[in-house]
Amino acid sequence: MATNSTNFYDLYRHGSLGVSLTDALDDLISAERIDPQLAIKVLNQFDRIVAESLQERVKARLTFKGSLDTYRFCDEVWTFLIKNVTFKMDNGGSTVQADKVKIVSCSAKRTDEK
Amino acid sequence: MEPLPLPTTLEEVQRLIQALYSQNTPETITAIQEVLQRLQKSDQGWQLAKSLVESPQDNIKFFAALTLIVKLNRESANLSEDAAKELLQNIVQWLLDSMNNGTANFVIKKLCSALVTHFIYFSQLWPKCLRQLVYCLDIGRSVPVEALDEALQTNAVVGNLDSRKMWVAIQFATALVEEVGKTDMNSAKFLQVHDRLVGNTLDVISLLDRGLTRTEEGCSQVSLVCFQAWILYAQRATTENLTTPLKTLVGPAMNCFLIEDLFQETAGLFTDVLQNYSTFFTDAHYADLSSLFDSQWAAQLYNQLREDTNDQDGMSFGLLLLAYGDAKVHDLMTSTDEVSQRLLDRLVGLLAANGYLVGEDNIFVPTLEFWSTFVECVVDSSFSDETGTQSWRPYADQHLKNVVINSWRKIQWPPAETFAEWDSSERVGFGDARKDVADMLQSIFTLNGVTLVSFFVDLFLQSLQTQAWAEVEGSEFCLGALSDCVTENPEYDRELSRIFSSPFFDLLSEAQVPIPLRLRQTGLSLIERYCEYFERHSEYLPHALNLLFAAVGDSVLGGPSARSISTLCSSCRSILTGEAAAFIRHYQTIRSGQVLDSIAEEKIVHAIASIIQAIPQEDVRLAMFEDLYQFIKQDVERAVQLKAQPGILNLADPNFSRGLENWSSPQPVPGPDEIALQIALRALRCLSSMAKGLQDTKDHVVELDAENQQAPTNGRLANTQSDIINLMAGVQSTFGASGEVVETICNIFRAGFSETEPGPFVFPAEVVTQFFVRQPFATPRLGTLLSTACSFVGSLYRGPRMYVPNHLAQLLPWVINTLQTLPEPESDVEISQNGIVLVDRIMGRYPSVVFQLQPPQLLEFFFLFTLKVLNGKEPLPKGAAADFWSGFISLKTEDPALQNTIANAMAHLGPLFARTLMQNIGGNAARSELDKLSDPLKKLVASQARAQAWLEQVLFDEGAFPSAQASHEEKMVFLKKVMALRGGRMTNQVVREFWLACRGSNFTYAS
Repeated sequence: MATNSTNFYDLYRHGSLGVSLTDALDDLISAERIDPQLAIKVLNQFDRIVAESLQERVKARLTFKGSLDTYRFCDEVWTFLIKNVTFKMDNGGSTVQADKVKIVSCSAKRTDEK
Repeated sequence: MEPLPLPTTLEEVQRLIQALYSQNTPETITAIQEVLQRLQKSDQGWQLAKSLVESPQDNIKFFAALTLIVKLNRESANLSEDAAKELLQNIVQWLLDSMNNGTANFVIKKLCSALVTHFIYFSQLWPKCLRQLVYCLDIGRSVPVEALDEALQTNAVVGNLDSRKMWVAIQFATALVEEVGKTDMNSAKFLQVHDRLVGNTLDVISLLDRGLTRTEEGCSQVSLVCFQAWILYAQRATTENLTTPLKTLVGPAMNCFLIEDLFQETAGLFTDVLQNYSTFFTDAHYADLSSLFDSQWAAQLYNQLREDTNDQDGMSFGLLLLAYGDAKVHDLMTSTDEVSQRLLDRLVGLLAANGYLVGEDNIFVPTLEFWSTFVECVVDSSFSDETGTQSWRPYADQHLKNVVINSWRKIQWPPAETFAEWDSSERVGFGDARKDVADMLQSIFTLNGVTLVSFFVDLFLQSLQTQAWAEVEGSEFCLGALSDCVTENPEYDRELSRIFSSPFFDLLSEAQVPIPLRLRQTGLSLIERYCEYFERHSEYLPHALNLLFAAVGDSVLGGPSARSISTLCSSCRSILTGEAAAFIRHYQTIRSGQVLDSIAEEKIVHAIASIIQAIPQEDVRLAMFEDLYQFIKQDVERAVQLKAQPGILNLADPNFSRGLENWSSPQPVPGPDEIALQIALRALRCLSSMAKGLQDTKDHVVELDAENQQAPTNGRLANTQSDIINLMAGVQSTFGASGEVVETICNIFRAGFSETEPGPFVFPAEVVTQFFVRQPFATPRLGTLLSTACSFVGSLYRGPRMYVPNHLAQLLPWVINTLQTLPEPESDVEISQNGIVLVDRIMGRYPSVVFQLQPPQLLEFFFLFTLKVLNGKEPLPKGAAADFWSGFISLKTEDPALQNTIANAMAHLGPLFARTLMQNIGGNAARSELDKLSDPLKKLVASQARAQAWLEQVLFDEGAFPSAQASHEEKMVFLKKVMALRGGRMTNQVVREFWLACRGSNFTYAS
C-alpha cells in the first residue's frame, strides 16, 4: 500500500484529486513538457502532502450513524461496510443519506514505524 | 536577456561566480547560472574545479566543490579506476587544506558532500570511507587507500583527533548517511553502496562515542545530528548489523540532556525517535528515560513549562514527555506503580498550563492528542480483554476524570475584550481545540456513558448558581458534544431533564440578567442538538420554541435560531400540529416588523411547512398551507408588478426592501429590475423550503399496477397545484434570463418527485412533462433542467406504470432536439451529459419508446452524437456515453420485433462503436476513463458474436488505430485475452495494460 521510496500511502492517488492529477501529468508527458521521473516525484509529493494536510490542516469533521454490515481487518487495513448511513456535517448540521458506504482505513503509522 | 558568452580565462570565471552570489536581477542570475552550468558540463569541468578549489575565496571554493559533484554525477562512468583513486586523494587533500586554512564551514560541508558523491559511484575503491578520512585527518595529509592497512584501530585514531578534525569527520559521516540514504536501497545499482555504508557502522560508533562527549567546536551538537541521521537510515535499512551497534550510543546521547547547551538537540533527537521509531529503544533505555522524567531536573523543566509554554526548553521537554507517553501508552495505562502514575499525573497537568488555549498555551493541543490515544487504548482494552481483571482501570478512570475537568476549564471562552485582541489564527485555533475536546469526550463517553453526562449536568447547575457564565457555557458545549452519543434511554433523559427543568430557558431569554452572547449561542445550539429529547418531552417544547423565535430577529443569533426552529419543528411535527396557525401568525408578525435574513426566513418557512405536513385532516392541512403560501404568492405578485411598473418602488416598505439583501452601503442601490428579481428569488426559495418541509417522513405502499391518478381527486388541492404551477411559470416568463430562477424551480419540482402521497407539490405527471417540453434551448441552466427531468423519470418509475410510456414519448424528442441544437457535443457539457443520461434511463426501462421514436433520424442522430462524445475529451459526457453503450449493447426485451430492431441497429452501429472504443483504449482516452470504457467492451465481447471481427478490424487498421507503439503481437495478445475473458472483471486490467503499451513506457510511472 505504501510507496517504496516514501513513508506515505499511495491510496489517495485513487481519489478524484489523485486521478485528475495523474491525467494532468499524462497530458504533460504527452506534450513532452515533463518526463516520467518528474511525474513520479510529483505523485510522491502528492502522497506526502495529502497525508500531512489531512492530519494537520483539515479541521472540518462529520459524524455518521448507520448499521454496520461487515467489517474486516486484514494486512493492517480495516474495512467497514455500513448500510443506511446518515452523515451529519459540522457546519449547520445538514445531513446526507447513503444506502451503503465502504470505509477503508489504514494506520497513520506504518508497521515498521510503530 | 541574451545568453552570455563562455568565459575564456579563469579570472572571468571567478568574476562570474562572484556575480552569481552577489545581489543581481533574477534574469542576470539565470544567465550566469546557464553559462556556468555549460562550463561545468564541458570537458574542461574537471580542470576548472581543480583550479577554482585553490582560490582563497569561499564562494569560489564552494562552486568548485559543486562542480566536482556535478561532474561525478554526470561522468563517473567515464573515469578509470586510477583516475577515480587520484580524484579521491585530491578531494581529501583539498578538504584537509580547507580545514587548515580557515575556509568557511559551508565549503567544508560541500567538500564532504563531494566525497560522499565519490563514495556513491566508487564505493568499491574505499569501502571503509570513514576510517580512510579519519586516518587522513589524523596524519594531516591525504594518502592512497592502500595506506589504510598501516593505520591503528579507528577507536585509537579517533582519539588522536582534535575537535576541529573531529567536527569535519562527523560532518562527513552525516553527509554520508544522508546522501546514500537518498538512493534507492532496493535498486541493484545501489545495493552494494548501501552494504558498504553499513560496513562503516562500527567506525561511526567510535567516532560518535567520542564526539558526544566533546563539547568544543560544537562537536556534541553535530554528533547528535549525525546520530539522528543514522537512526533514521537504520529504520529503513532494518539490519541488525546497524541497529545493534547504534543502540550503544543511546546512553551517551541521553547524558547530553543534562548539558544545558545540548538540551534542545537532545530533546529533538529523542522526541523524533520516540515518535517515529519507538522500537529502536530497548526496555533498559525506556527505564532510563522514565527515571530521568522522575528526577528533580525534570520537575524543574515541567514547572517551567506549566508556567510559560513559550519557554523553549520547557516546550521541548513537554513534547519529549508526550512522545514518551505515546510510545509507552499501553504500558503506562496498565501500570499501577508510583513512577508511572506520577508520569501520567504530569501528563494530565500539561492540560492545565498557564494561559488561554493556542495563543498562550501551546502544549494543550498536543497533550490532548496523547489523551485521545490513551482513551482509545482504554476503550480497546476494555472491550477486548475478556479475562483480565483490569486492576489498572480505576487509576485510568481517575486520570481521565482529571483530563475532563482540565479540558472543560481550558475550553472556556476568555472575556470578550481578551478575545477581541486575538488574531484570526488564534481564534480559529481556539475553536479547533474545542472541537478536539468534543471528539475526546465522545471517546470517553464510550467508557463512562451516563456518568459523564451527569458530571457535566452537575457542573452546569453549580455554575448556574454562581452565575459563572464561562463555566455554564463550557458545560453546555460539552453536553452538546455528547448529543450524538446519547441514546433514547430514560437514564439519559433524566439527566437532561435536570438541565431543561432548571432556569435554563429563563437564563437564555435573559429574563433576569443579561448574559454573554456566546452563552446564548451555545444554549440555542444545545436545544437543537437534543431535538429528539424534546420529541419525548413535549412539556419543554413551547419554552424552547418561544426562546428560539424571540432570537430570530437578532443579527447574530437569527441564523442559528432559525436553524434550530427548523430542526425542532421537523422532529416534533406531530406534536405541534395544533400550533400551526399560531406559528403562521408569528411568522407574519416577524415579517411585517423587519426584513429577516433570507436563509433564516427559509428555515422558518420550512419549519412551519413541516408542522403543516403532519396535520392529519386534509382540509385543515390545505387551509394552513394556503395561509402560508399566500405570503409567497404576494411577494411574487409584487415582484412581477415592480418589474412591469418600476415607479412603484418604495424602499421604506419592508415588502420592497426585502429585495436589497445582497446590497451593502458603499455600492450604488440596485435598480427596480434587480430588486424585483431578488424579491422573486427569495419567494421562490421560500416556496422550495415549503416543498421540502411538506415532504413526508414516513414510507407508504405504492401500487405499481394501479391506474395513475392524472389529477388529484381533491379539487382544492388541484387548484392549489395549478396556482403554484402558474406562479412558477409567471416568474420564469418575467425573469426568464435568470438561471437562479430556473434552478430554484427545478428544486421545487424535485421536492415533489420523491413523494408518493398527494400534496401541493406532487404535481400530475402530465403537468411536469409539459413544463419540461416547453423549455426552449435558450433557457438558462438547461443542463439543470435535464438533470431534473432525469429525476422526474426516476419518480415515474417508482409510481404506477400505466401512463409512463406516454410521458417518456413526449420527453424523448425534446431531449434529442435539445442535443441537436448544440453547436458541438462538448459546447455545453452539462446538457450533453444529462441528455445522454436521460435517454439511457428511458431506454433501460422502455426501449420501445426509444426505438419507435419519430422521425427515426432523431435516433440516428443520437447514436452518432454519443459516438462523437466518446471520441471527445470531456470526461463527464464521455462517461455517460460509455454507460449508454453498455446499456444498449446488452439490451434485452421480450418483444421479438423490437429485439430484431435492436439487433439490426447493433449490426449497423457495432463497427463504428468498436472503432471509437478501440481508439480510446489504444491511447486516446485519459487513464482515468479506462475503467468506464472497459464496461461497454465487456458487454460487447460477452453479448455480440461479431465483436472479435469488429475489434480486429480497428486494431490492425493502421489508419484507424491511434498508436504506433503497440506491436502486432501485443494487439493479438490483447484481443485474445479480451475474448477469452468473456467480459470478466480482469478485462479492466487487460485494457489498462494495453493502453500503457499503446502509450509507451513513459506512462508506466503510475498504476
